[in-house]
Amino acid sequence: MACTTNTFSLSLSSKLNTNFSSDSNPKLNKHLFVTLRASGSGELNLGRLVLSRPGQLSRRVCANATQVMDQSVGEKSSAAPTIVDVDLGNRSYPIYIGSGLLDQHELLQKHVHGKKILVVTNTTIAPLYLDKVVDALTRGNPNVSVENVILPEGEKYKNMETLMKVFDKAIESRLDRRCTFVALGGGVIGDMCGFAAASFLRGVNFIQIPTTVMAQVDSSVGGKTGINHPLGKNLIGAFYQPQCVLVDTDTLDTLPDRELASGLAEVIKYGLIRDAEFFEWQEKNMEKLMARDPDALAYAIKRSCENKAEVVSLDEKESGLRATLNLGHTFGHAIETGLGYGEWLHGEAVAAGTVMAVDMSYRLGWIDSSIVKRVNDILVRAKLPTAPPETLTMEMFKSVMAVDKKVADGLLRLILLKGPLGNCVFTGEYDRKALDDTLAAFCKS
Amino acid sequence: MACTTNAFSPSLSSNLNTNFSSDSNPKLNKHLYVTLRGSGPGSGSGELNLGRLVLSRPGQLSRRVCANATQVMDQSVGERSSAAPTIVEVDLGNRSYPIYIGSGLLDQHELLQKHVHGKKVLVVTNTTIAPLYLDKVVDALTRGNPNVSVENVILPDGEKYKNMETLMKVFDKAIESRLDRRCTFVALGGGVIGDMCGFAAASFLRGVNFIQIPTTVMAQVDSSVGGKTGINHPLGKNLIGAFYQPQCVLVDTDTLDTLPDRELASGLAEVIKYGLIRDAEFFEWQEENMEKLMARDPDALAYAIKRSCENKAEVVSLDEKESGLRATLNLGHTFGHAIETGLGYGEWLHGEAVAAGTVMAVDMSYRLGWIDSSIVKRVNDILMRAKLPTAPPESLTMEMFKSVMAVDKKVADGLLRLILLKGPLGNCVFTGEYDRKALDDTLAAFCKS
Repeated sequence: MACTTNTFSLSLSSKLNTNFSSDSNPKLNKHLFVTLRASGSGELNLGRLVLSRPGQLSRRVCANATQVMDQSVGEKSSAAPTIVDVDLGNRSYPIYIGSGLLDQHELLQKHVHGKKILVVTNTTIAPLYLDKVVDALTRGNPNVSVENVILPEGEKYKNMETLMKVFDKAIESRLDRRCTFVALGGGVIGDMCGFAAASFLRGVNFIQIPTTVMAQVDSSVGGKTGINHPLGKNLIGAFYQPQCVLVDTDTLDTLPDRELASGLAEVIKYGLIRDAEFFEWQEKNMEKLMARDPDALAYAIKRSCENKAEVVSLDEKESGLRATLNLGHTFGHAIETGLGYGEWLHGEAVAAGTVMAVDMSYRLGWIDSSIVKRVNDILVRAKLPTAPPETLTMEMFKSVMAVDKKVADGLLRLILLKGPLGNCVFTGEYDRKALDDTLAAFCKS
Repeated sequence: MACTTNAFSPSLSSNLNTNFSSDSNPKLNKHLYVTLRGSGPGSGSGELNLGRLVLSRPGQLSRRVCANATQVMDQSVGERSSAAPTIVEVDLGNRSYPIYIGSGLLDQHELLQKHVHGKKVLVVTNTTIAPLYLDKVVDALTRGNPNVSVENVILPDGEKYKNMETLMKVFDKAIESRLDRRCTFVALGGGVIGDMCGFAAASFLRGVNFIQIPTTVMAQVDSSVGGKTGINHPLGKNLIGAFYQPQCVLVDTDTLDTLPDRELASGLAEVIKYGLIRDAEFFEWQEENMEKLMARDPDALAYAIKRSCENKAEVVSLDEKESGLRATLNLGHTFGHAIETGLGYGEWLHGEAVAAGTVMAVDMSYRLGWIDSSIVKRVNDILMRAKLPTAPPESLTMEMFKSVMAVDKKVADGLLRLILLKGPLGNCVFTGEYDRKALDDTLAAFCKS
C-alpha cells in the first residue's frame, strides 16, 4: 500500500544555504523560519531554528515547539549545548549537542535517578573516554557508584552472546531497577546497551553518549535498539527510549576517517527523504565536513537530529512515516548480512543501498536523471561506495531482503524517491520488474 | 518505604461463600456486589465500585466480567451451544484484552481467530504439550481460515530450559519461516512456555502480537495474565524480560485433564496467595473446597480460575508496571525464587517454592507482630491439604537465601522490600521498613545452616 510521505518534507528559508556557503563568518547568527507543510490545509509551524555556535547562548530547539527558549547552562562558560527535544509526551527527552559536554557533569547527572550506573562501552572507546565519563557521573556526586563492561568492538559482536555479558555484569554487580545504563560508543554499543536496558529486570533507565557520526546523527536518537541474528540485521530488539542523548562533538576528534564518512551516509539520507535544503547545504559543504570543520559538523549533527526527532515524535513505532528513515537500508542490510557483519560499515552499505534505491526510482520513472547524478556525486565526494560489493548476488539480495522488517504479510515494501529532490514514498506497490532490473544492473550474478 | 496495600482488599458479600459451601446447586446464579475500598491518600472519600461478579457455569450464558466495569453484559458465543466462555477483562485502555475461561474453548475456533490479524502464526510449545494439544490448536487456527498458515517450534519441557539458549530457538524458527511484523506467536503450555514465548514476541522484530493458551493451573490462574515475560539467568529468576501484554488469553479448562497432580498442586499455591493478599472470602472458600479442588471438581476448578483471574486482572490494570500494588502478587516469591535458584531450576516447581516461601513470609510477619497465630495455622493447614511444602529444602542455607534475595527485582537502591501480611487475613504490605532481626530469625528458623 503506497504511503506517500513527500508531504512531510521540511523546508527552510534559503538564507541558510547562502550564509554557510560563503567563507565562514563566526559571528553569524541567523534566525530561520521552519515550516512543516502537510498536504491538507495549512502549515504546521515548527518554530525557529537558530544556528548555534560555541560561545553563544544555546537555543532549545523543539521539533514540535512553537518558540525558542534561551538557556544558559551551568558553571562552564564555554560551549553551552544546543538542545533538540524529542517530543514523546511524558517520555520526551533532550539531545544535547556541543563541544566539551562531557566536562559539564551536571548535564549527565541530571538524568541519573538511582545510585548505581553501568557504563557499556568497547575496547576502542574505553581507553579514550571511560575515565572522563566516570568522572562526569561522579564528580560532586558521592552517592553514585559506577561499574563498567567493555565489549569487543564491531558489528560482528552485535549479537546475543555479547549481550549476555552486559546482563552478567549487571547481575554480578547487583544492580537493581533504579540503576542507569550508559551507552558510550557508536551504533553497535548504543543498540546493544539500549536493548540490554530494555530487558534487564524488564526495563531500567539508560543514557546515550554516542561517539561516532553515525550514532550522533542517527542511531542514538529514537529508541530503536537490538542485536543482529545471523540471518538478518536487527531482527531481535525493542523500541526503548533513553533518558537523554549527550553528543559531545569533541569525541569525533578520535574518530577515523572511514567511520566519519560512514556516518555521512545518514546525513545525506535526511536530505533525500525530507530536507532538500539540507541536501543543498551538504552539496556546498561536503569538503568542509570531510575536513572536519567544527561548525559544519555541528550544524550537520544538529540538523540531522532535528529531522530524526521530528519523525520519531510523529511515528515512534514505525507504522508509516518512520520507515522513510530506512532509505537505502533494505539493500544496505542485505549487503551487510551477505558480506558478513563488519566487513563493510553500516553507512557504506547504506550508501550503496541508496544508489540502488535511487536507480530503481529512476527506472520506475519517479525521479529524473539529475537526482541520480547528484546522489552519485555527493557520495563520491564523501568517499562512500556507489555500488554493492561484487560478491553479492541477486539471490543473496533477495533472500536477505525477504526477512527485512518492512515486509508485511509477505509484501516487500521499500523507500523510493519520487518527485523533486527531498520527496520519497514508502510502498509495496511498484513494478517488480524494476526491482529485478536494478538488482541485475548492480550484481555480477 | 512502607506502602500499605491492605487498603486494596476487595470484599464480596458473604452470599458467595454460603452458596458454594453447601452441596453444589447447578442452577445457582447469584449477583454479588464488589467494592474496592481505598484508604490511602487521595482516596479519602467513597468507594471504587468494581461492578458485579456473577457465578458462571457451563451451560449458562456467559457474563463479561470487567474488573473496572460497572455493568455486566450478556454475551452469547458463536455457533457452539456448549460451554459459552466466561470472560474476564484486563482493563488497560486501548491495550485491554479478554481472558476466556471455559471447557472446550479450543473447539471454538472463532475465539482464537478473532485475535489473529496477520497471515502467519508461530505456535511455541514443548515436548510434553505438543503431542496432546498442538493439532487441536492448529485446527482451531486454520479451520475455515485458508489464509492463515501455522508454524511451530517445540522446546524441551521445564524450568531449566527457561533461558537464552532455548529462547534463541524461537527466533531461529521465526526467521527461517520468514515471519514478519504482522505475524502472531501463540504460547501453548505452562508458565515457562508462556514467559518465553511472550518475551520472544516482545523482542522479535522489536515486537509482534501474541496469544496465551495456558495449559497448567499455574499459568491459567496467574502467569498467562498480566504481561510479565522473560527468562531466567543462572544467578536469578526472571532477570531478563519485558512487560508485554497478549492479545488475549484462552483458558480451556479441559487441558487440565492431562495435568499431573504435582503440577496441579503447584498452581494452587498462587490461588492461595490471592486469598492471603487481598481476598479473604476467596481464602475461606478455598478452605471449604480444597479437597474438591484436589479432586479436580470441574466447577470448583473453574471458579478458582475465574476468581484468581479477576484478582489478577484488577491488580494489573491498576499497576501494570509494578510501581507498588502489583508487587503484592509476589507474596512468598522472594523466598520462593531463592529456593528455585538455590536448588537449581526445575528441582522444585515454582508453586512448591512459592508455598514454602509463603510460610516463611507468614512466619516473619508473625515475628514482627503484624499477624496473629491463627493466620499462621490456617496458612500451614491449607498448604498441607494442597500437598504443598511448608518449609524450604534442607540444602538451602541462610547464605544462599541472602545472596539470591540480594538480586531480587524488588530491591530498590539496595533496600530489600518484601510482601508481608499485616492485620486480619486478606491484608498485606509491600515494604522495606521492617526489623532486619525478624528476617534473620525467620531464616535461622527455617534453615539448617
